[in-house]
Amino acid sequence: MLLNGFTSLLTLEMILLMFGGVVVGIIFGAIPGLSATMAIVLFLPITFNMGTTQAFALLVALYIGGVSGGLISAILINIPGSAMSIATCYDGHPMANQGHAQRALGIGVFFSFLGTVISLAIMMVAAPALASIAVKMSSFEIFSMTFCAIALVTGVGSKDVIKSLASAFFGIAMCLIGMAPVDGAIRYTFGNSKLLGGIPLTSAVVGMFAVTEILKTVGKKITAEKVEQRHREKIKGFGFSFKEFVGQLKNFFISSAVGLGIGFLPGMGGSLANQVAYVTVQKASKYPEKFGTGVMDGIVASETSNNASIGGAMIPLLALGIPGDGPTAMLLSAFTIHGIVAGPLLFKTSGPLVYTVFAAMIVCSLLMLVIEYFGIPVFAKIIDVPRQILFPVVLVICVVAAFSNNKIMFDCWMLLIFGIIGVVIGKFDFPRTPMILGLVLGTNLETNLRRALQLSRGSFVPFFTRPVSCILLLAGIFFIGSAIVRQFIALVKARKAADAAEAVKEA
Amino acid sequence: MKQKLDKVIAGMIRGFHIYNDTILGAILFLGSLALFILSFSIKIMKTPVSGVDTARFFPQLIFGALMPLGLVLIVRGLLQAKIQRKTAPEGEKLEAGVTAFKRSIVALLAITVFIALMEPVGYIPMAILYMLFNMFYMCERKAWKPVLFVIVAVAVALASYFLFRQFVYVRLPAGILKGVLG
Repeated sequence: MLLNGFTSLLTLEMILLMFGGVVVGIIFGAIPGLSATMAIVLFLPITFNMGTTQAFALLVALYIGGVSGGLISAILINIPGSAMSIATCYDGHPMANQGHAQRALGIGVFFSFLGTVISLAIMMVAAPALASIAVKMSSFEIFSMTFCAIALVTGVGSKDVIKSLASAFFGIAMCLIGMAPVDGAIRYTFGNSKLLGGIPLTSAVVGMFAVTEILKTVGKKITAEKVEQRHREKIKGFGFSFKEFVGQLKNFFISSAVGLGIGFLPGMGGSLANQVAYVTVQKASKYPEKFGTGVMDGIVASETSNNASIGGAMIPLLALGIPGDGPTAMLLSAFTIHGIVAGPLLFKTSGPLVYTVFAAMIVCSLLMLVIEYFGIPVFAKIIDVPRQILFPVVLVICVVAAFSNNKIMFDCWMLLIFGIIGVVIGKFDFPRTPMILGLVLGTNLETNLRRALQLSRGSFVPFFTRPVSCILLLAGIFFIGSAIVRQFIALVKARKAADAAEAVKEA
Repeated sequence: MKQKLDKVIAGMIRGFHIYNDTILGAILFLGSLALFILSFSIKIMKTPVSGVDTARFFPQLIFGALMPLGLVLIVRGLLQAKIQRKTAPEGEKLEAGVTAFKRSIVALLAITVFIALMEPVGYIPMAILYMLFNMFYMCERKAWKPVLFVIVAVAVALASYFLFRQFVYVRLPAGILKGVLG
């Protein structure tokens, strides 16, 4: 059936359609504020008059291109295209700043491709089995999983656990604005009806990166002499050796597992996967202290996991009719529009279509690889554009993208407000990542907590009597607890060292 | 006047450096306390299954957790103030900090004006003005390239307006150009 799927796609018309879809997806992914979801929303009406195969080939192309495109702006200008590429900034941008922009892009592109392919392979083999696991996850497990993910990023990936915790809670607190999940009670809107829908996530993320970056840069005038003569690197292949590739295999498998696992849980997806994978790989690394300075591992973790979440998110969509993230929610609409019911019977009733979708995803991944590979030298030129020209242009585009989400000025103001928040928290050495994670997952956390408490009639006991939930909660508590102990020990050691130094001085 | 302002900013920067954690902790603690108290006025929309099944529970949980974290930061900040004082910026470093602060405020004001006037004046004129202002402001006079700056600003503003209108179906505010742009 997969071969039939490939056969139906291998016509010039279809290839061109998917090529166009991937290019548009990459552009949407690369522009901060635009996303794969938005690309699919825009092109959904165009697919009404298309055949089912063409329609899904185009939508899948937009999805794959959109997820992958975010790495370009993350690496080159330290502004992620969407929340899915935040962790790519951590090592991608430092590597680009060291004069290795093409290498950073090459690593990102290649592992994006591999991440997509491995998740698709697992999806094809194990979609129904994995979907049955997903359906068994109740609100208890999803809450515990969300808590565990936040605890992992907060505890393991931070230098200052108190500030990290406060930052995560601060992010979650921002999700309290607007209508409450479950019962729709209005909270903390202070009479502003535009806040009923909550904080627009895109504006928040883009504001916190783009505006902050500009305000940081503007602090010192760019001098005429300071026009940097960047070392123009020439890379072979994707910019890394076979030995380096082999060295990244463990990292790759960990990140793929994280992406796939998180992708198939409803409401999570690549926005969470990239950060959890980054922290997990950092924890497992022999040189965790080098993370954030431009190491290959960081880019591999982020880009593999966010693309692996594509296959993950497709599993519950195809097997259960439950979307795992924004783009798959749009794909579900496309199924409905084309008269197809996604769910357990899909493989039986529309088997050929399902395999055509699988084939389209593989072809689009290959197209993405080719397009981005040849695009690397072109994309890398962005870094040569003088900052006094690049940053104002980027900010204007960010404002436009923020406006485009809901077509109201409110989202632009949110962009500005979150930019200011970004600058202020930077001055306080308040880590940004846990806050964004809290913002992304806060609603999910509350929804599942309240649902679980409704099911247990207010009892917290089932969180600990259900094995998966209990393990995840305990793991979360361990991550935070061990980080606190680690930091306390470091503090005591530092104190002792300082006292000893003072004693020597006095003597 | 300028000297006085610089002195105030310098004081702020030093104070911020010395009492960084204390200020952050105080903001978190007081803000959380206020929002925790406010949570009691959240209207409950339906009869809850249990005491914890209301829209008040989660905010109280979150702000309840933020308050002690704020207190910890206050205490830690006070304990570290002595050490922080030793590393507080002075001399040239402080002067650079004051300049950077002032420049950031101007850049922030520029973005605020751009967003505030985008609707009444229009996206295209405001985007051009904003970009031009920033391009000139970000670099020193010797690095100015007026012709290039104007070309880039006009091209980006026009291209983004029409591309978003044509392909993303987003009509950015036309403002004073309403009749011209159609």
